[in-house]
Amino acid sequence: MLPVLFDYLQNMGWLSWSVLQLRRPGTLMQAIFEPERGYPSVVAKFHDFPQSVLRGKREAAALELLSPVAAQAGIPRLLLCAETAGGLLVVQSGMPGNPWPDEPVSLEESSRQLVRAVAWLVHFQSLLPPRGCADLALRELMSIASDNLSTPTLEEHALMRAATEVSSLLSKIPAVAVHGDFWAGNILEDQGTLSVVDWSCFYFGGITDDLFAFLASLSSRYDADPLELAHCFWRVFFEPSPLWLRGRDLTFQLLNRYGLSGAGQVRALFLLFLISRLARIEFTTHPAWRAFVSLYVSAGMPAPFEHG
Amino acid sequence: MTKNGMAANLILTCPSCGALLQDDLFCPTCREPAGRIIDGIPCFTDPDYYWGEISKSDMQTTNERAQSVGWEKALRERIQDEDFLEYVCSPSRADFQYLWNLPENATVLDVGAGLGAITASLSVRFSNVVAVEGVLERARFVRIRMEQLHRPGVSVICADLLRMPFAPGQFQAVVLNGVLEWSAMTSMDPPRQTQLNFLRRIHELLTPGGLVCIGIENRFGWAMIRGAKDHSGLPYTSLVPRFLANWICRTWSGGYRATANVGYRTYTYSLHGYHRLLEEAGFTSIRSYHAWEGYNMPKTLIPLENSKAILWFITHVAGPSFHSVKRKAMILCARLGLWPFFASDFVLIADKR
Repeated sequence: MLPVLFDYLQNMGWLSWSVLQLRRPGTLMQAIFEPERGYPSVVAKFHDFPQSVLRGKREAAALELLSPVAAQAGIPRLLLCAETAGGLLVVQSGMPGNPWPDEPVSLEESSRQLVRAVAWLVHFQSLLPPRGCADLALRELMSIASDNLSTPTLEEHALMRAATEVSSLLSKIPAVAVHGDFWAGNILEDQGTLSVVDWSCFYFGGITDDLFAFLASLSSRYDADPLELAHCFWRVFFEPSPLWLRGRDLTFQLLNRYGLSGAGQVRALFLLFLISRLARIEFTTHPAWRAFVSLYVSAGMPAPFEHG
Repeated sequence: MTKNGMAANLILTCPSCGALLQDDLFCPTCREPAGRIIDGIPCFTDPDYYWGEISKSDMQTTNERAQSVGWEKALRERIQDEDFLEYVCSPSRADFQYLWNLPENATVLDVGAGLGAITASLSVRFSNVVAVEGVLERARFVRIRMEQLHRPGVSVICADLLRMPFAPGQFQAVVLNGVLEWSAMTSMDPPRQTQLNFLRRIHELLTPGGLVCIGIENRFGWAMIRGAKDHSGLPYTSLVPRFLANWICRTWSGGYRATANVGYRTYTYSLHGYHRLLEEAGFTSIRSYHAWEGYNMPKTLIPLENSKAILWFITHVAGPSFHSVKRKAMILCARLGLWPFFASDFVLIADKR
């Protein structure tokens, strides 16, 4: 254990604890358990690679910003952020509960997750006032995507042009708080109460960004290759099915809260969402999103949920 | 650093009599050299002895090439096995160090340094690291690697496990990664007694409050039950009584990974067995971890004394498929308290009080 973390725990009056340590690319995570507690009271992330230090800084900044609403929304509290020799240590409170199944076995389970996730999103968005408009978020995400994609494809260029064209539409849509990596594995449920962890991708962006990400994650499988996954994403947004219907209804439910309902607005938000996926090269699904963009641009970049 | 490439505060003693050595490794009590400096490496063993994953001539060529093209490129020229390259190059090989509460100026001893993966990782965090390797060609490689990585705080020494030339009480941590089980190879004493003596010597080398960190297999671990090769080169030998393993090895095995590996001397133990061994050697407050990906790649370390943490690991981290039978079996195993019995690999951390 890093001495700074050891000192922190001792200063908090801890006498004994167990550490479960996990190495993720660029980050060492320590879940620290008090005796007889079923979940870690503290989660420490030591970022020891330059790229992951940036991620750690982003998460620490997000948790600090979200601290006033953390208890109400089930968000970890930032306990400590310290630069040490060799990296950045970010310590946050642990959250109770188990993650949702990452591969729902039934449509019922998917629907249940979807409805509960959107209820949480509505609550979360209501706790934090919007910050500016979505066109600003688009500009920032386009800049990140341009930096991160070393060789953008023709389709990706076309998507960015189309996104720029809807910028004026996005300037009339508020930018809301977005988790940025909203999927079952980051949602913990404890006796009916939800918590959401891993805030390293937080930003202010599209109203439907988290919902679209969650919908896509419901359709994906671990063992699928990028092209297969891209087709899964396509079906969720463009091929009528019970899940598609549920997704469409919940999308408009979210939009209606902001007085929005037009297909043009949905398309603009979908383009913004796709740019956010292209910007996140650290996601394992990034190649799949690139493949999806190819499909989407080839299909003429329609608005999702148009049929039916 | 001294002219011998060692940290100035490192005190060397004669492996035979324990007397303090002079700068040229001369023992004033034995009135003879205890070792000699070869290519800047204090060497206390037969410099011609060789054991390694690659042949001696390949190792020599690698060392020569490493001087001109760099250690990593030289290694990649000789080795195509990606798993082995990761084993040698991965910065995660010493991730167990993040479980220690030690200051950056602590002196850490890496016993059985091999090609220096653990030494390299330790030296990122700790300013003084001593690497002991029993094969001179491999020690040479470690020295070249550390020089090229600009790690002036690393001292490389070539010595046998059971004859390490250090004065007592000068290390805050000692790493024995895949070492304890092999420690009885060069002794004629009963294996457990030799291992115990080895641990007692490690205990002696530590400062009060220092720690030993051991990476090792579970004698009855799931991997062994499934037929993984034991240190004898044969499957299942750790599972059977020692006398039977000895008979099996004398009949069907011999010389696996070392010419001295004859009969069954590479004892591993259950978790309880390790605790007993460490306690007999004088260690206290032993923390036990299951090294999920194996102790040689300690990326995931699960505290075995906390069944709730094990359950949390299964529900939050382990296995891609949420509904798999394997996952359910793991949960049952954790609930019944069986996890420590069948964990394949351990990382054990014990204190000297």
